[in-house]
Amino acid sequence: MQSGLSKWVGPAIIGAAMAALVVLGGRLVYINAARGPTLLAQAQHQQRSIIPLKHRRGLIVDSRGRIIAGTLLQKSVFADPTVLPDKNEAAAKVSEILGLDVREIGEELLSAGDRQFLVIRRGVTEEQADQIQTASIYGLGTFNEPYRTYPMGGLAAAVVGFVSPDGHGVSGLESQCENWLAGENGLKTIIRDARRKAFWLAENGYRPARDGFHIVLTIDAEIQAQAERELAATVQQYHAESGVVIVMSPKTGAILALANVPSFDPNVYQDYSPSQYRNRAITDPFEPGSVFKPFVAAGALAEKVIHLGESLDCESGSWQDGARLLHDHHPYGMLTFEQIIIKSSNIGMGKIGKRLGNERLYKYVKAFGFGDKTGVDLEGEDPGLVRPLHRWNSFTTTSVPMGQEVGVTALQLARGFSAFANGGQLVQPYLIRAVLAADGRVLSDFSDPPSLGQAISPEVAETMKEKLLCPVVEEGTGTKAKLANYRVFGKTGTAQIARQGGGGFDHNAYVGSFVCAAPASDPQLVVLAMIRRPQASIAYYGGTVAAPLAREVMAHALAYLNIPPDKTASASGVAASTPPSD
Amino acid sequence: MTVARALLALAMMMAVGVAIVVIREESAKVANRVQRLHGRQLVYEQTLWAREMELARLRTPDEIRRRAHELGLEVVPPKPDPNSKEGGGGDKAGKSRRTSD
Repeated sequence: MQSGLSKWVGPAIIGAAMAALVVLGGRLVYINAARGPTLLAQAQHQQRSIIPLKHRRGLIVDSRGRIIAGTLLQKSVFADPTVLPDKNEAAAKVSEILGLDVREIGEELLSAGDRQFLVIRRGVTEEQADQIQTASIYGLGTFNEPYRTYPMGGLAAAVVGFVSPDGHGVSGLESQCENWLAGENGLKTIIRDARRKAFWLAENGYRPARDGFHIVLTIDAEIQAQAERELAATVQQYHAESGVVIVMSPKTGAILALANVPSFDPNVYQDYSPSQYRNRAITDPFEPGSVFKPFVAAGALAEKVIHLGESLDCESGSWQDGARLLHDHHPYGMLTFEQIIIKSSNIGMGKIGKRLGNERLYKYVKAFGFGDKTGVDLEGEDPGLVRPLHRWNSFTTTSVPMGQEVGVTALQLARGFSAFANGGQLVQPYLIRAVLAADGRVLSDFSDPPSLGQAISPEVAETMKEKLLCPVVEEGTGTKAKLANYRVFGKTGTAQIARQGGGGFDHNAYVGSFVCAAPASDPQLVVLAMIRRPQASIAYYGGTVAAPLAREVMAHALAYLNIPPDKTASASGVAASTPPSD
Repeated sequence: MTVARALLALAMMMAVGVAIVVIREESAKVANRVQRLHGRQLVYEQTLWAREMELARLRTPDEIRRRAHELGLEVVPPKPDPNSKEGGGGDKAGKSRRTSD
């Protein structure tokens, strides 16, 4: 039989244990209920870090997939001020390695509050990043962040544009296609140990980044590069203010090259004046001069107010029409309709304009797309200037056929001229061929835009090409654009630049231009070259400054694209030694 | 309740506690591995981006011309075959002599 005391030992122990458990349980309930939220928040603050997962901005590539704009990673230095043992020591070390002001760094660290991620410097070198790592200062480290890069430098810079330091598009396609190119950052929540080392991905704490979509352009980098090279050389040769070259497909409207001089390097856009960001091919309308004559001539043919072979008196170079005195650069007597274009007679065109009348003139100017935006997929396009018909007068009747009293952009000219190369159709110029998802799937395909209708009939287009525009290059003002293996057709233009604010023209200020297409048997390319304010004492005629430029660009593009020639060298003839000027 | 049963209850509670700790340790290991793998994935992505951009730089027309010049070669557009039935703007690849792509 147990003694009285031993009988109670067992239950006493159990009772004590139970009481301890109750106390512990009660303490547990108290901590969870009363202080739980506070402690949980404190723990999460100490243990968890939310790290943004940077997305990759979409690529911009040329028609053959070569990257024009892409994303690279740069090393950047960060600090976690909440765990830095000695902020002053950290500031001194960072200042020594990165060459920054130690006081600025120190102030940043001290004023950071409870921020756990403070970017000290972006874009440090690999060597500097290694030094930071080697310094092994607790709370100081490096990380990779994406930044925009343009591996082709300034190629098509005015088209592509550039991004701001925070990665958003500011100009060109980078801005216009921001919605496609920009992705979305993801995030991950990591659990850190007591030494702030990440060791655990929190449950439901991962959301992947969504990369941006890729843009495929119609631009071909090789054709673009050649156009920019030749254009830069021409602008330099003639000490010109600026220049534009456009290469496009007359059948589809695809723009294979769009070159501007001056231009800029988007990698260091801040080193250039904002005026150099401009895409002059669409933003700068100008009075085109004689290069506009084919559009009026086509209208005259279509309206049958003149026919091939018909002669007009070009008044020996000076013609008084009412209050207006018109001049030709060379005195001509009787010229046929074809010769009026080949030799670029202003008087001849003035008389054709009078036969057409303002209403029909206006009709055909608008039919070729002038006075309206082309609708190209670029921001900042200028519609040019075509006054409303009710503001046209008798001066306009003889001015417009010479390419005066109208303002056109280079792209409008190239698009309008394409009608002579494709059976009279007005095409939609475009630069964006497709949009691809990050994994390469085609999201949108823009490679087959609808035609905008007939500017002129196929018969008139063919007649213009064969009877008027081919001879311009063969024997007229555009002989410097002749190619040995291809039949080229085109038109030169030399226009004075109107004085700002009106009142005539600037002295010795011209725009020399040339627009052409080849091969004439089945035109595949249109090339427009425009040189603004070449030094007049050197040369300024379109046939001299712009035609050779267009020839070089055309020759290169035709060979590069393996377009078969349509004439043999023996049939090419001899270039005129002194081409007529316009 | 006897002492034995109390001790048994205590032992079972301890076993549950140990099991919880072990499971937590395993899940921490797995999460840590996931975290490290994700870090490696980011490193591979970074390497891929850098290689893509380096390739893009090497495919620049001017860079190709520069290297051709270094090698003593001329970058000459191919002469199209007059008998070729091919043609068209923008999408046709050139013949083998073309060095610009």
